[in-house]
This record gives sequence, C-alpha cells and structure tokens, in this order.
Amino acid sequence: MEDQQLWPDGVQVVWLDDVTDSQRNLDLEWQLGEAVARGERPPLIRVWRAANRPGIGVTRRDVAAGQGEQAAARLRQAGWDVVVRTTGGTAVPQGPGVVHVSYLFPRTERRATTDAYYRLLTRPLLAWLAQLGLAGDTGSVPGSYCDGTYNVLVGGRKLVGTAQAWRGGLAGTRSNRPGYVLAHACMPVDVDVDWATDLINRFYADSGSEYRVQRETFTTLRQLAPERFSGMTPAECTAWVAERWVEWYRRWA
Amino acid sequence: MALYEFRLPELGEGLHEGRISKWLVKPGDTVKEDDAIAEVENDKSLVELPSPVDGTVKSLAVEEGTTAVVGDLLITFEVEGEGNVGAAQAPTASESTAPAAAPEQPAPAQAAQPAHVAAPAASQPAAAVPTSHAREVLATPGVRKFAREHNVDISLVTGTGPNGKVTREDVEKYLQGGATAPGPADTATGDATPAAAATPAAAAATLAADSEEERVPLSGIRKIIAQAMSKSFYTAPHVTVMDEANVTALVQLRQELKPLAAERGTKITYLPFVVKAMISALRKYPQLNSSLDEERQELVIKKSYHIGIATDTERGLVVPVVRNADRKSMWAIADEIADLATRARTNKLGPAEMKGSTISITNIGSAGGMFFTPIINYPEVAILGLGRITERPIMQDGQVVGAQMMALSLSFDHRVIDGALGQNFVNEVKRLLENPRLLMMEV
Repeated sequence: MEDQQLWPDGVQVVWLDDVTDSQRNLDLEWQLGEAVARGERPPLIRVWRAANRPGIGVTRRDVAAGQGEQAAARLRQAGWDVVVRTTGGTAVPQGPGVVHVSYLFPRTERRATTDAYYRLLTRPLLAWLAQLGLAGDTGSVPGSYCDGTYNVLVGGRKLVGTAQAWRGGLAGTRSNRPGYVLAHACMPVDVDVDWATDLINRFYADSGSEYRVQRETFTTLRQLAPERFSGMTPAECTAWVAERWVEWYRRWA
Repeated sequence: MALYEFRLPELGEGLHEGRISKWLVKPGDTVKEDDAIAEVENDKSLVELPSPVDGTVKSLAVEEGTTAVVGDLLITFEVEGEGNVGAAQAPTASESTAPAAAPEQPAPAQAAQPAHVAAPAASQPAAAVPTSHAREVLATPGVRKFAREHNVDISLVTGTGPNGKVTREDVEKYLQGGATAPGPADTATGDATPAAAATPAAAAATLAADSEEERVPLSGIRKIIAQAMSKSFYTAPHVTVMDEANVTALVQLRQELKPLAAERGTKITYLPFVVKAMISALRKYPQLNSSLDEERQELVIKKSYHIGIATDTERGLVVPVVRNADRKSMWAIADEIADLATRARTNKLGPAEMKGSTISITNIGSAGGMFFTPIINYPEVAILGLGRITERPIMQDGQVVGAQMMALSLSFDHRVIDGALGQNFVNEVKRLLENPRLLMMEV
C-alpha cells in the first residue's frame, strides 16, 4: 500500500509517439511531463514505440564522458541513430523493434524513493508478461545493457530496462518550475541481440570507456514467445505490444 | 540572516550516494522553496533536488561530478528568520545522524545509513563540523550492488581498474582485509576495516544493551495502516454487534462442492458464500452499502457492490476489492479472491485493485479468533468480521445437537446506521448462511 500512495488519481493512458523522428519522440517525454507538472494534462502513462531508425539511446552522462560526443558522431556517420535521453543509466538499443512505457506523474509532497516508482513501474509489466505465460522477476544482471536492480528479467535474462528522472520542484502553480517524475521502461520486442551488443560496445569503446555489455545477458520478447510474433516485422511486433499495453494499463490505472 | 545547510537526502532504498551531475544554481542566486537546485544521478536515476527553503545561495559544498554520500553537505543558504546551522552545532547524538533533508524529500532512515556516516555522528563532539565524504568513485552498477550487499562502503575501497575504477575483485579484497582508500572517509570513520562496515549492527546491539527499550521505525505500510485506522476510528463512531450463524448445512455443502471445485481448479472457501449473502442483505438494507458526505450531510448509497477483502500479508493488512461481485458467480468470486490474495501476498496488486470498495469483509477466523471489533474501512460505513467456525452442542427443537457455528461481528458507523438496522442486516446474512440453498437464488 505504501507505493500505491504515489499512484495519482485520474491517470490517463495514451499511445503517443513519432516513429519518424527519434528526437521528437524523446522530447515528447519532457514536453508531456511539463504539461503534467503544470496541471495542463492529467498524470500520464505514455506507451510509445522507438523511432524506426535502428540505433542506441544514450544518456547525457554517456556523451559528456571521455570521447562520448565523438563516439556518438561516428555512429551517426555510420548510419545509426543515436539519441540522448534525460534519464540515468547507460546505452540501450533503439529502433523499430523497441517499445517503451513512461509514467509521467506530478511531483508531490509525498515522501518517495526511486524504488517505489520502480516497483510501480515493474509490477504491471510483470503481470502482463505473466498473462503471456512468461514468469518474470526483477533484478540485476551484471553485463547487461543499462543494468540496474529493477530490470525485468525472464529466465534470468534481461527483457526490460528501467530508468527514472525527477524534474523540477513540486507540481502545480505554486512552484517556479513545476516538476514531474518520469519512470520509464524500455523493452526490445524484436531486436537483433548481436547487433545491439556490438553497437553499444562500439559506442563505449570509441568513447574510451571500459564499459561493455554481454550478449548472453539479455533477450527479446520475440525470442521468448516466437509463435506469437510469427510472420510479423519488428514494427508490427511493437505495434502489437503497444496496443496491448494501452489496454492493459487502462485496466490497471 | 541565518544559515541553512542542505544535505544529500536518501533517494532510493539502499542507495547511499549520488553524483552531483549538475548544479542549477550558483552562489548569490536567490531561490524559492521547491526550486530545483541540483541534478543528482545514481546508477539508474536522475533526480533534481528541490530547495527546502527560500533564500540566497551562500556556497556550494561539492563540485559538479562529485559523488556525495547521503548526509553530505551539498549547499548552504542564507535565509530570513531561523536557519538550521545553529541547531546543527548542538545536536543530540541521535539527532546528529539525520541529515537536514528537505521536507518533501525522504528523510534517510538511520539504520539505512552507511557506517561511516552514522558512526562519527554518534561519537564526535556535538559541535563537530560535518565532514563531506564526497569522493569520485568509478564502479559499475553490478560492483556497487555487490558492495552494498556486503555492507561495504565503496568509497573506502581502492580501485585498481582504469582511472581507479573499483572492480568486484577490489571489493572482495577489501572484504578480506585488503587495501582501503585513503582520504577523508578514513578520518571520518576512524577505522576503515571491514569490521567498521558492520557498524550499524554493532550500534543496534549497543542501543539494546544500553537501554531497556527499543525504538523500531514504522514501515511505510504500517504508517499508512495506522493513519487509516485512526482516521476511521476517530471519525466514525463504531458500534459492533456480534452473533453466531449455524452454518452446519453450509459446511456440508462446501464438502460436497470440494471435488467439483478441485476439478475446476478452484479453491473453495466460505468467503464467496459470505460475499453473496452480504450482497443479498445489502439489497435489503442498502444504507450499509454507502458512505457519508459530511460536507453536504448526505448519505451516498452505492449502486455497485464492490467488496473489500481484508488480507493479511507479511507487509501488513491490504484490502483488495472484488468489483461488481453481484454480477459474478461464486466460482468467479472464489477464483478472484484466491488470485487477489495471492498477489497481495506477493506484492503484485495494482493500485486500482485496492480502491473503491463499498463494504468490506475481514476474517479473524483463519487465525483462530471468534468475536472482535473490526475497524471500518473508511469511508465505508460497515465491515463484517468473520470468526472461526466451531463445532459445538446447541439446543434445537428441545434436543442437544452438534452444530457448526460461525462467529459474526459487524461494525458500523453509528452516525448513519442504528443498532437495530445493523442487527437486521446481520440477521439477513445469518439467514442465508444458515440456508445455503437460498444463496443459490443469488448466484
């Protein structure tokens, strides 16, 4: 019940993305977050697909460290998409086979920890996976991309990565800069794991970082439930998941 | 002008440090309470810290890129009126362990603090100037987690990786009594051996030995339960009526249904029968399925029957809701209760699943009790408490016969329900439980 107190009333579930423009897709996060913080929109659960250009999503810290900017530029020159997100963590795969869900909740006076929001984020995902017959859990997998305690794991391999950003002060008009909590989960539905591993490692190698990910530490939904996605393209797979997530979260909220 | 010091609050359970990735203010800036002042980043989160006060930034205690430990001084403000520096100069031993967190930030639990924060605070003179333990620590999330799991303050470990990065092997070496990092952290702890990392346990033991009482902070869920119970009890004048139902026929029926239930994979308990009996009684006495709008002084009678089922879990009491129970079969209700209870105990219920009940049932019988005075799940107006079923002799038609008797306790809000109405409701529930064939009409 403790965590549930952070769940705001009147949560709206929307499917809102721009798969043609990866930066706009990401910018929508803070644009919607700020609207929520100002009270112009209800608290949101945003379901969205990554843009259809394959690549990676890195953090500002990634690009600020070492040769991060140059590494990102080199990947872009090679034709890959590199987007910079506002949450913490490390690089994650992006592209037409990746689907996201973001909670955009107003910052309140309630005492909270990031853990509480992670639990609110992962619980419905675990329940949804259970409906597909996939028993999931949360935990860390050293060597996986963007590792953390609140990865969603299936069969000991990482399926969903999570991250957070708390922006501004308290929500509402009283604050100079009304704030919001962004709790975000990212799931590769149909991604080539070898390709993703290579691209992430290439970014960090070019950055001069020792950080590397190991391909055997993560998986995709398609690998776990191949029959469900038989004959579908990566974009069709993510659309299928996004549709069901919207229904799922509407019931959940 | 007074001074107000702001220290790094705990942002996540077990997270003892954060990297100050960006200052959003500089000395001389005027800030208002809740203005974001800094970005703090840890393994997986980026959090903007809001200012706890109105004031002017006097100084920044750590540089961007520094990793600070929970409790480290981050920033000092000049404020009108009373600050907190004067108070900090003469704290009690227990007070000095608590960072001056912003009101809206979670106050770090003392037990969760790293040893090297808690230990000196308890042992240093009260006027000691807080020392910043901030130090850049390079380590992967996995290594940090490994260190945390072994109660190792990673800032004390000498990193042997590139650029001084701390590896798992470094932590293991540290655990075996190996190298430690020099620097402020050492002077702060006074002892940077692995034994010092176990200081919280030692401190707890000392506390127990030195006093004859122990103070255990309430868990978050306990606090919420405490608030909810107090609000209900002190808002709604509770009256409880107690009675017994002869459920011999119901016990027999359940026995007969068990094989059928097993075939369906359903665990059949008495709860679905009680739910159906209660709904039937609510139709007859709808005032019990209501809430009181105090402002408008109106009774809000609910046309839906959402039944809260109080469920005991390791974390405390939660009340998942069987929604629209009047439209569901007993099989469906049995399955739903089993599912809700299982997920309640594994902490997997969604928030919506614990909201909106119109009346609740609580069961003390599973723990062996009989009659009790349940607290209403406010703003509902009644709660039915079930006691254990006992087989005992009763008088029936002038004969002593054995019977299965179920204890019932109904608490209700006397502002809106009088004793006779409450008892009539219980009588109706009893009538149905005693004649389960009548319940079939409710399915």
